[in-house]
Amino acid sequence: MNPILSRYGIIAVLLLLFTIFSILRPGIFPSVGNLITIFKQIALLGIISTGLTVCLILGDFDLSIAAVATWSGVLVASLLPLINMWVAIVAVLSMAVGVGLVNGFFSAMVGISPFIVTLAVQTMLRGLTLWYTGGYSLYSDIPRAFVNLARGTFLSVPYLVYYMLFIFLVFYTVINHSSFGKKVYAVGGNPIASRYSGISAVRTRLVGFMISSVLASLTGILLAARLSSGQPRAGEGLLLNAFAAVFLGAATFHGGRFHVAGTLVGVLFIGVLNNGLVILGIPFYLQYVIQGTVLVLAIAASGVARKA
Amino acid sequence: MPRQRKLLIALDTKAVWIMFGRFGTLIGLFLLVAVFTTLKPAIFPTPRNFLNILNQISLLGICSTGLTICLVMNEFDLSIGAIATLGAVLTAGFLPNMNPALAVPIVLVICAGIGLVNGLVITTLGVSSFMATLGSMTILTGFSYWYTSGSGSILYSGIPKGFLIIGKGTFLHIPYLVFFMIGVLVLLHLFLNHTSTGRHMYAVGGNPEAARFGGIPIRKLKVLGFMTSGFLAGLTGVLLVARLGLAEPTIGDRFLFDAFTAVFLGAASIKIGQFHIIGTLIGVLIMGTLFNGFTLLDVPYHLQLVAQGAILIAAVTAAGLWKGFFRQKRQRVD
Amino acid sequence: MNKLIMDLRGITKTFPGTVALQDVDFDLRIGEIHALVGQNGAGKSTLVKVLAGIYAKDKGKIVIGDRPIDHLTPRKSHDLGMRFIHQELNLVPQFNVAENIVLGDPYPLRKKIRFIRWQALNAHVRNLLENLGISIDPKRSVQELTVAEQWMVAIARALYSQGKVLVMDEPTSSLTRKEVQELFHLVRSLAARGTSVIYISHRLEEVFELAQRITVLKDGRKVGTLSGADVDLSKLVQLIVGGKPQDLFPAKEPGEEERETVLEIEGLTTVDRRLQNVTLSIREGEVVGLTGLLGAGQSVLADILFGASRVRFQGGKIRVNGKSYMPRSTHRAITRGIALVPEERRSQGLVTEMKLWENIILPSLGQFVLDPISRLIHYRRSLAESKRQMTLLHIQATSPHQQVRYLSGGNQQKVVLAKWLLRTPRLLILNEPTRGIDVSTKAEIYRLVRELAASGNAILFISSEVEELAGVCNRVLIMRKGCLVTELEDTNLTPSKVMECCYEG
Repeated sequence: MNPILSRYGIIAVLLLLFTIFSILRPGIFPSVGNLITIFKQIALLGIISTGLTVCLILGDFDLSIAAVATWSGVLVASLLPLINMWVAIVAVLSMAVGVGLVNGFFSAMVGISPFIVTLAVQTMLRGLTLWYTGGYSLYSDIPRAFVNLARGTFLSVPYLVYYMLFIFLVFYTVINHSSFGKKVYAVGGNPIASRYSGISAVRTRLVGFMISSVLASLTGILLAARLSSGQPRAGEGLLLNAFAAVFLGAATFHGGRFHVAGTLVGVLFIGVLNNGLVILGIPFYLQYVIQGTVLVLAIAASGVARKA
Repeated sequence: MPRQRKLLIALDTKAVWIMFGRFGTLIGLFLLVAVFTTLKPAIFPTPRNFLNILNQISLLGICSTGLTICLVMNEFDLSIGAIATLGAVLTAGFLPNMNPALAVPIVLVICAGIGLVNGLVITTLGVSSFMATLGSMTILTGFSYWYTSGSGSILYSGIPKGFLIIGKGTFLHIPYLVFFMIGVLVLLHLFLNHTSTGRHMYAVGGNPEAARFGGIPIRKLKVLGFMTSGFLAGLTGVLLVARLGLAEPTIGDRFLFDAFTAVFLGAASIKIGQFHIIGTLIGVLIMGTLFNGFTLLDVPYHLQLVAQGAILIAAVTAAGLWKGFFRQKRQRVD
Repeated sequence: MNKLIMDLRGITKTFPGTVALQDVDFDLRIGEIHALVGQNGAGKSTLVKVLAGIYAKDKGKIVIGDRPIDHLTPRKSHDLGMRFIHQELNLVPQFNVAENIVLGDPYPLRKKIRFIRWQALNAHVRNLLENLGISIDPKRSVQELTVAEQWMVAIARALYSQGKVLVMDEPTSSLTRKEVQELFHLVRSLAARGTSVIYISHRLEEVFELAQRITVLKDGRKVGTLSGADVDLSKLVQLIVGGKPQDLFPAKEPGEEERETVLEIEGLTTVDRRLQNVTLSIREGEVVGLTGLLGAGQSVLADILFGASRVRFQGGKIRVNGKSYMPRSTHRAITRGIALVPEERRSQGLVTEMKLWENIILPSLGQFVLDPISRLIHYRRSLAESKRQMTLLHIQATSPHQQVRYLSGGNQQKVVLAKWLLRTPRLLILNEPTRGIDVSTKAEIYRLVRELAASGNAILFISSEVEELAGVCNRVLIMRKGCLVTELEDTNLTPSKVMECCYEG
């Protein structure tokens, strides 16, 4: 497979898409305002995908992220009328740490396939959410300050974008340039050799699951803030898009390996594609068709993402 | 060898634990039946209710069987829900204007064709099955929405009564759908365990390198697997219309997670670590029993989900621990 | 029989940047056992892949049977009777012995419905196994078999499918002496029945025992084919290494008296009885060898000392530098100054996708961070240290940034050593450090071990190659069934004595 194509294929397609949309809607698409909108639209996806990336590097799956996000949004919305906003947020994030521990315990300590563990946890959380909300949205007594967390702007750029960029930056640095990051790549590459080098695969994977859950929870909280309500179906669509983004990321730069920078590209890819299709007025079902096709073609074109 | 014998003896004292691990899911199934029987002695343990259970899981059983074949070869098919939806939607769309004897085969061929495309993309373009079926799932969902947008998203008119009989009729008190499920299960069980092609599929999943060196046509088998999965998912959709008399674009969604749950429950049963049809049947039975029992007990659906997840974890944990013991016993004593 | 089953003339194969094979001739007679030896990178595996049809030759002629072959594909190679068995064995774990033997060949089927006739299959397989003198029940799951038994199944599979030429790559690395003899017995009977065998191994003593002819490859060329009376160890080593035969083993310096005891084990017994009442001690400056048949307990002891084993103790004490030591995790072992170079370097010793420098600093990440809070990697220090180790150990790689999977076996092993030497461990445990490594790197490693001992390190050297045990160690401890049975040193320490002690009783 042509090495240049493998390394930059996705980026090339991304630029291609950008160009096409710019040509088709020259006034609207390539404007600063629209670019900011794109970033805003992908901000939450970016946060949740970053957490998932860490998990995938470690060789684990986390199918529970969407359910954690939804449940977090619902939980925080129900707590906000009762307690201080920050306490509520911290409480929900702590709950997410607990979920991550559960995921990690069964996957890393007991040794069950993370696919099943997170599938099961995801099912349980979905049930819990629906039962807790009775199927209704929770929207009463949501404080203005909370909603502002997601809807506020600074220098015309929404807070959400800053959050996403901050998280990307932090995790990019940690995963690629810190000792913890080396441990993550080591355990993901060869857990046995890592153990023989004094690194605990179990502990590292546990942390990986916790990171994934916490970032998913954060996403859910911000989503609830943006919607100013806790909705029991809020997280749908995040799961697939997050995996798509991370896998697209794996098809970028380093051919087949998951990494944070690639995830950013993947998230941008999805954002640009979605945004462009919406601007072109393409009905949502056709969007699905196009998204699915482009996704598969993009990955095929870069000749990677073998053996998920 | 004395060392192995000593370890065997040590294991015997854990015999109960071992049995639990291997047959845990079956034991769990019996436990469920016992519990529900105790709680609802008048309704639950009746033949009519058991048939009810079978009826309820019949479609999931068919869908899960198709998924089993893919998983045997270590491939994920995430598009089964979307294919089932497509099958349902197309059937409901064709039937008003077409003879069922023509419409159904066409729909099935289309669904098998989708499986074919899945398989080809995965084997020739080198895309992982996870991503490829994720992509086709997205595409098909979009298509289903598009196809149903004409009549306000639910297709229900013009479905011939005769067709509905397939979904609701019985023979000797056993619903036709149950016959379908049993037929599919038996056929595919025989296929996987007693034909060359089936055994080759296991080889592909068990050791792809060995299969390759043995001259086994890996690509063809994988494509065949996805075609089967697509076909059976499509059949599920067709039968959904027969049972419910309608179709709408989210009708097949729950099959995705449910089928995976069932098949993985199956991999925790008896032949631990392997996907197999009988195990899938056990998985489906567990889920059906659970659903049925909880419904009789008026437990809200949401809590059923919680229970489903918990059972899955418990079953797989038990199986995993069993496998751990077995591995220790067999390990080179050094 | 002297008729040729295979004749290769002038085979040349180049890759961008390297000439893997240059004008190599190789022929094989019917019923012959012909060994192929050479250092890593000499071209053995390339030649095998050409035979398997995986690589296409650039130049040369291939004649198999009586037919000249132009384009050899894996399918064609298989059809012509070539069968390849290597370390990975390629058995399907879910299948039993019978299904594995038949893998790739048609199952016996019923006439009308194409179902498998299991009874017929089992009968055929049982027949074959009896003919070959292998006593394994065809219905057993292959996951239950020992490595030696699995090799026999792999060989049986080759035969079942009408294999005419068997290419065996390093079959004996994980086998006990007894199992090796059983294997050789099988191979000889195959040869007697007309199957030809190409035997690839680094174990020169075995090659002598088994092969009728030995072909030596060096740097892609054939440097010689020895047969019959020509066969002689020093000649062989000379051909393999090229130039004057070096002394593999450096001189041993006598140990000083006043050295501190680094490791003391008293009466160590494990719950599963894999170790029974083991007592030993190692002082600074000593290279203590540990050996025994497979399963005698050497690797168990190594893993336990390093904290890599979960086995519980029933009794006994361990002391490191005088202080009591309870091995709970590899991390704890490392902080106590214990290092282990594990048996399998690719699966246990290195993270192959990572770069050289990353592997080298992996156990010592704490020492290579900018500050303890951010824990960001100190690149300058990491690279400098890696370069230092590369120079010290003569590690051949394009740069510290090269991924270790591209390094040769010997260089990979040096990376594993480097990562531990970085930490100046008090006790260095080496488990089969020269397995699968070419002769010249072996010599380097022996020299390194003696140098380390001379500078005061304590070394536990676990190996199954008796020559290197005798050549490198000050004294050798022999284990049998979990117990330490003998200690050999000074004049008693000879390869043959070591071997004897492993078996006695």
